[in-house]
Amino acid sequence: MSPGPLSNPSAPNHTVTGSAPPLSYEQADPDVRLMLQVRAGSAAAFEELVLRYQARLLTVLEHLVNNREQAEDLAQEVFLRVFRARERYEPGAKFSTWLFTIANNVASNSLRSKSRRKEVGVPNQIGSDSTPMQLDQMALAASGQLPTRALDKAEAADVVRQALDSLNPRQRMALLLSKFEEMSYQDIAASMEMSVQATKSLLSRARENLRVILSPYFENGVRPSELAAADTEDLS
Amino acid sequence: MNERTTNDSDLLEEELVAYLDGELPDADRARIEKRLADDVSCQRKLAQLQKAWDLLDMLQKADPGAEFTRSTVEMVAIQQEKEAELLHSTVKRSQAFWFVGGGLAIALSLAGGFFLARYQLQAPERQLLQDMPVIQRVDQYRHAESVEFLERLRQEGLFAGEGEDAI
Repeated sequence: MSPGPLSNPSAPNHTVTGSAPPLSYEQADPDVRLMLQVRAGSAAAFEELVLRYQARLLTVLEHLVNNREQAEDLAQEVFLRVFRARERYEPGAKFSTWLFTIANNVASNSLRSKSRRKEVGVPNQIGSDSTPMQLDQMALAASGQLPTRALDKAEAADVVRQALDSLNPRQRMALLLSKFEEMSYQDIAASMEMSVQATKSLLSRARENLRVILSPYFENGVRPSELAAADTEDLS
Repeated sequence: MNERTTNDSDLLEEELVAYLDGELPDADRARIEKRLADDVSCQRKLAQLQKAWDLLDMLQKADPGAEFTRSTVEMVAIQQEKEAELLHSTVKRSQAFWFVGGGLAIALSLAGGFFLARYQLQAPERQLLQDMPVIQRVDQYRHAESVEFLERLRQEGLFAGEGEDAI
């Protein structure tokens, strides 16, 4: 993507009314001001931006590519692109919108090249809490040493992650930006370089797919993998 | 018929999701709320959409830690050094280009000036050399009445074999 100015996809929140002049992105968004300091050569401002956004960026990327190490590499690539683009930076959107536009491009390129290489799926590296339930956990649960509540939570997280993985990457990205970044449709559209209507449809399909996959679980306790197995048996 | 049903269903899903996200205009929101009040299946779908959405809270949020920050900032610092080196080498290349180019231009100017001056200095001698045949016969030409008379003699072939320079 071009790291230059975005075409004003989302106006800053105008808290003033009447005939007061609209707030510029520089006035409305402190992170835009930080980025302008980076443009002026401030290393401290860049570090501050990294500190403010690293967790948010990593969360989205981690759930998008489902691999912790790859997500860290991609997040660093995003920050590097931000830095390289500093001299051409013009505030044309909220900083987060601009950052996630770069993130979307970086992740899309990575997923495309990954699918071209037809890599074998790497086991999930997200973390102990969110990895699929291990045999020792099940054994502990069976013996009553692991609180049922903790088991339920681990299992639920696993099921949700499976459901998320079953969405296509664009649906996943839109959903993650909506959930974790609480972005409006307009900001998601800008970040993913698509129209607001297309974003609305994309999010609707993503949420509907999620509903179809997850409702048997939260209503009847049927995991998506069991559903898939049942479907396979039906077919054979 | 089926296609229209699918489209209606898609549209309803879009509107329900937009309703949950607070992205519906007032008029559409009122219409959806009215439908929700009367339609149990629609209520159920909305509840399922909301529940599935809430379950996403189970996903872990990343905690990169200080090491990630440090390596990112270091990586960018290395990039900055590379950029500075590249800029420095570009400036040096540019300086070398101007130095060599400038020297070459000065040398060419000097050489051109030298040859031009020499050409100009040799101009009277060249003219003298060109006029030599006439100078050698100037005593004979004095006896002629005029240039027109000499021209007539040349046309009649009197100077044949003596070449143009003989006139």
